[in-house]
Amino acid sequence: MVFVQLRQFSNSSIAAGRPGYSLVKPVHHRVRIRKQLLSPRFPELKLPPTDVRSPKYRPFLVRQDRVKEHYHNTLKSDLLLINYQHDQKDVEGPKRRKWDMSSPYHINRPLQKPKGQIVPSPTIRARTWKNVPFFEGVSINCFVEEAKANPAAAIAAQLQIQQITNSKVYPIYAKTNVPTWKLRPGMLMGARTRLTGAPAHQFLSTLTELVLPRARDFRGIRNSAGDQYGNIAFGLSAETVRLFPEIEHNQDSWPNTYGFWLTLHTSAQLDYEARTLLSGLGLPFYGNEKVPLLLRQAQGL
Amino acid sequence: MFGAARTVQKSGANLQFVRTKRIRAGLDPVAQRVVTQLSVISANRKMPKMLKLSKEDFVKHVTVMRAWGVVRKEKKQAEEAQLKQQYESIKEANEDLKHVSQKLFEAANKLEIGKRFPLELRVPTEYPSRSGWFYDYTPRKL
Amino acid sequence: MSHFKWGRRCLATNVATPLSNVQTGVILSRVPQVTPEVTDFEQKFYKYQDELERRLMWTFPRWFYFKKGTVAEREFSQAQKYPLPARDGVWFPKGKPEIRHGRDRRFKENIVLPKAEGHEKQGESSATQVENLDDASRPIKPLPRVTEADKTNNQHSLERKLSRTLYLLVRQNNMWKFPAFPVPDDSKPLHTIAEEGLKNLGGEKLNVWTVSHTPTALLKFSNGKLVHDLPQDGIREYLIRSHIIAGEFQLNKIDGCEEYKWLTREEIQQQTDPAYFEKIDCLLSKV
Repeated sequence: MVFVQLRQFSNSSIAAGRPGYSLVKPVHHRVRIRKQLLSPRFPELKLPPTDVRSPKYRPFLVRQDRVKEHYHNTLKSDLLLINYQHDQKDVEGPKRRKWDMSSPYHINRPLQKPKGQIVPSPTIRARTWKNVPFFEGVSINCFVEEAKANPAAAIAAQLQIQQITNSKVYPIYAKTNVPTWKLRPGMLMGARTRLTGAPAHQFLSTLTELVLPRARDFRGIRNSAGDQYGNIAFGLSAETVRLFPEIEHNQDSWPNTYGFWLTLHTSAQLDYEARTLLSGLGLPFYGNEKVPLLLRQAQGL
Repeated sequence: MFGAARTVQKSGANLQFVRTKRIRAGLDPVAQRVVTQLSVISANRKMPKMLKLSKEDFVKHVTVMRAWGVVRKEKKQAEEAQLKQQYESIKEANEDLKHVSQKLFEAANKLEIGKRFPLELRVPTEYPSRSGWFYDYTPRKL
Repeated sequence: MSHFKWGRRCLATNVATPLSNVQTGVILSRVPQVTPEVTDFEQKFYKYQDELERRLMWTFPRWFYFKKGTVAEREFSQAQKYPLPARDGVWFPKGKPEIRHGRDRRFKENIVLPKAEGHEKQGESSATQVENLDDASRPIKPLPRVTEADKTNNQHSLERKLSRTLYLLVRQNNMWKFPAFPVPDDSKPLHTIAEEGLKNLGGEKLNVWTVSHTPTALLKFSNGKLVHDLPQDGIREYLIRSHIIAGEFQLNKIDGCEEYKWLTREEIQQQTDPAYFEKIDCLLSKV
């Protein structure tokens, strides 16, 4: 077992007649014990959701996934070629630095922040056939401001997201207290969900083929959008949401619609690669594009 | 939570006949809409019965899934092998180009930031489009 | 300092070094227009998973889509087939039905859509009637995946084998290969020469998208044959990958090109030299 660790009790305290204590931290606080695995009741709950006997089981390979086929048949080898750079080396991202030990207080002090930033950046690996960027999924986050005064709006937003994505939605609750906005922690504020695999592909093709071409206020995704590491976010307005077929063909039930934010997750290491990939899946982009900071630093520009 | 519940006024001692709005049974329309919405999200009374496979059916299911896994794995391995060959081929070509002409090599290895797939290159559909292949293309004059 | 740099760069761009025996070839492909063919096994597997999904689906919340008391609701509920409810004193051989919201929760739910009246009539005489494209509610009649070009096996057509990737092959100097163009000097990058060469070869009405500036492969020729080690007078051919997006390829007979064909991977294998195919096989899509 991994947890065999010798717990040394202090000898001096025992000698002094006091109860001894261990210098090694006990394990039982850290290892989370899942009681449902210990209990003999409900054996099917212990099965993984991929097992048919599990109540969570849901088949997902119900039809040919054309976005996936397109990626594997056309985009993947193109992306390999586009991202290829000869004699490429890993670009080390700024990491946390060691202290120089010039002061005795440096002993056991947490590592210094990376130079010029607060959190460390990942190392950009050289592109090979093993790390061709792929589309991982979409997160949808719908925060409804009206829900402060009218909590029913948040429920309608939940249903709207469920209808559009055909997935389980989770409620969003306010976390902070902002008296000027009349926002208090615990208020039901909207809905969120995360799609991966075939549902994400289905959602993406609905978006790029039925919704965005008809949206008036949508010019494309801004080239400056992105979190630096290959995840790109953009918003849809309440007007655009009306163009989703599930809502368009059931207008009576939707007097109000709610705009939301989408984050497109890719396995690209930098944003510009993610944009190339997403453009291959049919998403338009506009605006100026910058050379990423990490590459500028690496080239000494 | 959902205020504006109906208020029923009982006027027992009132002899005068007053014409009022008829109060319908049930919730008011706004609350009813919310209840309907919640009923759509909720699993209550909409869940099917759990699958109870017999031993034989379970074995069949496992076999089917394993067969699918084998097919998928073979496909994936073939694809990865091909991608590796392509990578080696690109590498070989660039290594050669580097010795032939440094200038062409640099032009070929420029970082392609802002590279976009054209929007006309669409994800294949299940059936062909009505318009067919676009033959009458004329390049835009600049 | 900056002045000096500028001057140096200026010098570098102006002087073109002549190159001998270097060519740039183009792998021009037409990407699949329809989804790949599904194998028999895949089809059965999808069918099985689909049935499982339907069995495990929640009941359709019809009260959300059809308001009570509307005509649509009446038509919808009339079109449905309702299961028999359980009754005291009645024995059900396949087990007692458990009905919630009009669905037996032991089985999958079958939703029947009520047919619009106009379309039933249209269905009877569809052969004679011309399809009204403005009518958005017309029944969907997909076009066949097998086209005219498939039936006549017209290898000049871009509408053949819609589910496969087609590659442009030309007969250049009596050899079936990807079209190649000579690179006289290093004043222009390889992909530009490839694009211009394609324009000259295939006419102006061609919308071509070059995938990358990077060559995807190197072919070494000597006396019109593919060789492994290049002799002094051998020809290097760098292959540039590109896709045709629109337009028609109309061959101008220059650079020794006499014929052209749009072929799939298997057809290329039959058409070309085995040594040549072996070299380019990894670059071709299997779908």
